[in-house]
Amino acid sequence: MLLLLLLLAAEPGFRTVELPFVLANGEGVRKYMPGTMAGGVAVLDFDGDGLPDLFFANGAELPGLQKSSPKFFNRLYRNVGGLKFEDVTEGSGLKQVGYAMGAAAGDYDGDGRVDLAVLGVGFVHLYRNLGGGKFEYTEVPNQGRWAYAAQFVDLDGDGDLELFVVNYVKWSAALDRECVVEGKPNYCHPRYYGATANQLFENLGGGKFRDVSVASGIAAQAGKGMGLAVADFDGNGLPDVFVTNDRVLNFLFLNRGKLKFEEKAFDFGVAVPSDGKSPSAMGTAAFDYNKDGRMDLIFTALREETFPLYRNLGKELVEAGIETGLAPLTRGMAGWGIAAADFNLDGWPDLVVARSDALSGAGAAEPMGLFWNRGGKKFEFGGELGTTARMYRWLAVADFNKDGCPDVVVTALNAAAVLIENRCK
Amino acid sequence: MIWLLILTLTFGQADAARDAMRAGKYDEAARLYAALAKQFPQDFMIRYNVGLALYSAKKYSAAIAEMKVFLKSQPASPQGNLIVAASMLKMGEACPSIAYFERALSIREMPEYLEQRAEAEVACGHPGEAARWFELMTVKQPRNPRGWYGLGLARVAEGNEAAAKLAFDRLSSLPPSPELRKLERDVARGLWTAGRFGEAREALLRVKAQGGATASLEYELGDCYEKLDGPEAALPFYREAVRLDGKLINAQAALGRALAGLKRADEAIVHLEIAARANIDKSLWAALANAYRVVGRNEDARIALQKAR
Repeated sequence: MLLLLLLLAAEPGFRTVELPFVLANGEGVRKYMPGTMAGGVAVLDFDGDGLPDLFFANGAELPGLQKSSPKFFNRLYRNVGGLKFEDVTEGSGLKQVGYAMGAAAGDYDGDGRVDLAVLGVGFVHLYRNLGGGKFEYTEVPNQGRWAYAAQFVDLDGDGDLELFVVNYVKWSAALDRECVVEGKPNYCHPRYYGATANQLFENLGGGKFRDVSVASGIAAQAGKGMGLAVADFDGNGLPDVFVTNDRVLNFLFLNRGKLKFEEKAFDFGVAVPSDGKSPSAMGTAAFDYNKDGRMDLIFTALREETFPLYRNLGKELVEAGIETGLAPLTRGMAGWGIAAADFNLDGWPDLVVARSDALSGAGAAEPMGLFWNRGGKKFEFGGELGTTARMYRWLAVADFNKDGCPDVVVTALNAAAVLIENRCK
Repeated sequence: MIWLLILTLTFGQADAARDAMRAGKYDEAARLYAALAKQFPQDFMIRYNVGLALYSAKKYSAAIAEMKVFLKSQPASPQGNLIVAASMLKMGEACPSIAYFERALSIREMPEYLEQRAEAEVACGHPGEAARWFELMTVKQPRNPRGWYGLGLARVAEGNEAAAKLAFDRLSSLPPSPELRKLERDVARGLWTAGRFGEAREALLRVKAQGGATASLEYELGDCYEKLDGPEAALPFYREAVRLDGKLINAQAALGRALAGLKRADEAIVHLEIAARANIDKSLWAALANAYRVVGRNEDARIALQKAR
């Protein structure tokens, strides 16, 4: 009966399935900054069977940053079909140490097997896929920075994948501040922590990387990075990198070739919204929402900040939140992960957002959010995908059951990850 | 003969104390009554008068001490208990004051003290209890706007929005008066500050309809319209706010930001320049930099951006 009620409550076309992974953020009474930031997830077909598998980055004890219990282990799940996942972490070499925040997947050694980068507080670890469910650990130097998001992408056009790493703020247990909101301990505003530069690692082949952050121009800018979107925004044929920053100006690194970049967010109109208020810019996605052949941009933020949408005019990007109706729709929402995909197969990319506030406490949790793209002109709220309110954090989109409809997997603080099956046909 | 002299002197002192009270010279009255109390330590009414004079002189701590002595002999005195309770409330000791209010009002019904009783509950963090007392106040004094105002606020604190709305509606239906207008303005601002923009807009429009338009009110109305219906709807209110008071920086900033958001950068610059130069918020320089960039004033944009960083 309960199951029947739950199914009836779900919105048409979507069904939620709880996965066995529970994100443990190590949160206690005192709110150490990493606790609110955890929850990265990566989709990768590590065994090459054609079914997308899942890797979850997991937290650790705070403030010690140690994985002192199995509940903190990172987890690798093999997709065995029928939306069933088998935990294959044991023996994979991926349990890891430290407080993991995010992950990126890509075949960086070109051997045909998808590898992983796992990011966390003070590290960027590389896991080379050896086949047979085994991974070999190496690392790239990150000078103890808090690495938060990353992407493998061929930025110099030589056929192999560079690694772009977005770093958050200067933080350590010793630097952590105690903040109080409405009389209770809570997470601090990022202004209490210093900015850090992002990093670019050039792929030298054979699974080797070289830090080219300074030479490329990336290290010239210090920010408080949370997300990145890679696309050719200026139409010169080279992939550029947009980086969201938490309450400071965003970055747009335009690719000038040969791994040289120029930061041009302000000139392109995406450094800060026209009202001048730098939002808590978090997750971001590049997508061509109006199908004019130019990559547009969106990022999530907190309540009252809207989820700013930018339409690409070629030489600049202009705000499109009001004209598309997305600004009023999202003004009351807080969001983290965001992805664009055509969920109803009408040919227009829609949006899915992992929602919730950055602070903990009553009213912070929100359900997921779906936004239908109506012909590249308007966005319409498409419901909550049958989810309940949780502290959703990061998400990934893939067709997990190979039915031709993009599905969603999303993490939530101290709760089971949720797979949202899209029954679009 | 000596007795007669003492009696005459005492009566003279008591008269002087009473006159001082009537003349509003409470410190003097307290001093005179205290001298009498020394002469007649068994006379509890003199102790009461000392306490009352001290309370009137706003010497709350001393009033409490004196009145507690009085209450030892007259524990059922409603006035004595009230003065202790009211003094405690003034001193921020809301929670302990409640027991004294309780005793006073259980002995004698005194509608004029219901408001203080309710305020003690508010200050002690008991909105439900406060609402009960304010509700009683509205029954006893249905035309007193403070009862409906307090009841509405207590209902808000309770999280009972529907009941709060009823109370504020009753407040609005009272005959117009300067006190009512002030309270309604307070309610409207409170709703706006709390981010309840729909209700705030209704309340602000009501105040405005009663002739209470000010630059601040227009700015708050504009903000409500912007939050509810977008920047275009807010423009007339922001414009009216800056017309009424060009020095209202919040209104200049809001108007500039709204115009910028509507891609009217050239108009936005006028207001953003005024607001940014007040140097209250660096983000105004960022907004101005954006607006300069849009109209092609790249050097000005660069300078403004530097200030924003």
